[in-house]
Amino acid sequence: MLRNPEARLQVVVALLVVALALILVKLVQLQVLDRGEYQDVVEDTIYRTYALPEPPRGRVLDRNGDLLIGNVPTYDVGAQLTAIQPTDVPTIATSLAPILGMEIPELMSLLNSEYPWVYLARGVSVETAHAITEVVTAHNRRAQNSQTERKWDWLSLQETWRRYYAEGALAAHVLGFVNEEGVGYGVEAAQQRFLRPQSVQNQGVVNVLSEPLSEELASTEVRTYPGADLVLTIDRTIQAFVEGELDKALAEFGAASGTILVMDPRTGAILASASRPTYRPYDYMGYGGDARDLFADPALRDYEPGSIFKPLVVAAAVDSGRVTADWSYYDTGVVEYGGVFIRNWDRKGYGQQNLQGILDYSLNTGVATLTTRVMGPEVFYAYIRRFGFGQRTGIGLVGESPGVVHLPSDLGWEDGFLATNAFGQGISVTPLQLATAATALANHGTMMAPYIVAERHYPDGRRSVTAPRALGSVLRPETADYVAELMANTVSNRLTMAQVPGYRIAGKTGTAQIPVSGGYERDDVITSFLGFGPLPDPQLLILVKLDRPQVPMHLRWGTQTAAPVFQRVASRLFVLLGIPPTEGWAGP
Amino acid sequence: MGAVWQKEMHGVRRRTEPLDRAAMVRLLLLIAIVVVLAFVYMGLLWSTTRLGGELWALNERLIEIQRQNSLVEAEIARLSSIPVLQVRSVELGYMPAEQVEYLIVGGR
Repeated sequence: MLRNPEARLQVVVALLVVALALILVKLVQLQVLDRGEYQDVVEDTIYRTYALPEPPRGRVLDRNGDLLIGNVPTYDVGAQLTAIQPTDVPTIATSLAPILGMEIPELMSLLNSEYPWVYLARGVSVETAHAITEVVTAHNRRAQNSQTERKWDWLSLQETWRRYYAEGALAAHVLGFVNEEGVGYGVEAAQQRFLRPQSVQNQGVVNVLSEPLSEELASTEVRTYPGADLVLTIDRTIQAFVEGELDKALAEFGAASGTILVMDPRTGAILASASRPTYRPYDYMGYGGDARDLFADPALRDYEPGSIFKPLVVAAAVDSGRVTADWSYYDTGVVEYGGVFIRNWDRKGYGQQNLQGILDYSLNTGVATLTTRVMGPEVFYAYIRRFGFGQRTGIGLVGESPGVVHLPSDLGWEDGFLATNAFGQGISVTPLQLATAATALANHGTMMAPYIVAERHYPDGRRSVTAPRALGSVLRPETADYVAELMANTVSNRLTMAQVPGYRIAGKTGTAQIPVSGGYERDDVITSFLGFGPLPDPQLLILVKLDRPQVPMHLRWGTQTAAPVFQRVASRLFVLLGIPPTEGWAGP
Repeated sequence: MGAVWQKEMHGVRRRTEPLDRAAMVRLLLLIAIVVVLAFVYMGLLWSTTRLGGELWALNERLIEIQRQNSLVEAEIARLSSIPVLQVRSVELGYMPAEQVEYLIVGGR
């Protein structure tokens, strides 16, 4: 049959055509009819979310480059539970529990949970990760030669980081922390957008190890960037010393809490900010959910400052031109204004007094006279605004209070505020606002914006340096220098506890009553001292605030408690910072 | 095979032989070009894949070194931290200064 080659050829051609037709039909089915289904399968197989190991957060350094917050590498240990044989669970738990520091039943319960994937442990150290790797590798080697054992390919070690506070709890309120949502306190939270790293997490074509394929690498940006490093204005040595002095002061005077702020008045740079009680920022989870007051920086919380406010009132009166150096008033010991009777701290009258006398004897009647009889509300509150009270300083830290300033236009205004605000009552300010306002006195009238981040170092090599920023000429230079001289005379004449041999210091004490509902606490006070020096060009400004010192009542004053703390801190810092004594100053 | 068929076949072949050879040469040339292009493409693909793999491995190595560096940096910071220096100072026999008095040296 079919002897004719042409016929045989036709048969072969027909068979080939049929085969080709079948292939075409199948091809149409695969490529056209069932296309969507197969497309999904392919995409599920090769399109995966892949990620590079997370880069670290930016570091935080002090002004000398010493590490304050760094990162240590850690690992998260994960388990794909669907890939574990239930019969293997006891063996796995027995092998890994001691390494992970867990109880065997605890780990077994995790491994038996109903989730497809769980974390067995988070943030384990490099040593622990190595120990786990060794155990798993040894097991897998045995499993390779065994008929009964299965490989442990369900375990994953994901590279992560843990924040490392090199100096422990030092400067806890300044440094702060952030939780996993990026919310928290201090520089860590305020500078979150600079500190946080740029991770890589893309959807793309991956290989069996879930690593992106070459074309994926070529077509997308796969480089990760760590966060920017921050250089703070804080000096860790000064900070540690100041914290030590604050601890000593709290113990010595039995104070419940306190704050010491150290600033360079020429630039507004914060050199140290210490507050007690403090906390361990690396262990913030251990404080429970009710620790907001502990985490919030007391240097940014408002309080009624008391007499420490008086130099600013005197400065406002002089700068406004309403008084001159030869101005004086007769102090009867009481001033009445708006139905409020203002008396001096000792309820005595001091007779004829000038501006120097007001600061020397801390006369409430004197400053009340200046605000009520000399300046009036328009002038006084214009200066209050100029000094920045009632507004945030913009230091860029979390939780800064603007303070409370009552203005005549406000609902609830009482005439008496004009008199009581003069000596720091009925007005709330933060220690940082006070120190900032005082830079105007120390810096020849120019008020400097406080700042704590000196530089940012970006991962691409760029650097941004924070330039000191003047908030304006709040006072005329001659006013500022005159009031600074008055304050220096006060220290020389009346405040031996605050004097630093060889250095001309300007300062003022404060003893503030603590407001409670319907009045003020009877016995407890807040004592404080604000000082700067050495005159005539102060390089250091220090604010000491002690809350509720528990010393005998006759010693419960800023002069007896806060002033000596200032003296100890200033003496050491002048030496540490290499600040020379006042030239030609023989001392009081 | 019949003589007629033979004649027809060979006659046709003979008639088309010069034309077939030229076409064959062109076809072979085309195949050669396709093969060369395929090799070039395969070579490029291989090179890209290899470089991609190397890039990935280098990236991982970089991250690993960064992690080791961070660990070393943290350890250095720990050893030079103020609390550790204080402990070491006491171990070396230094005592904290309780009363410090600074002397003012004239004629600086």
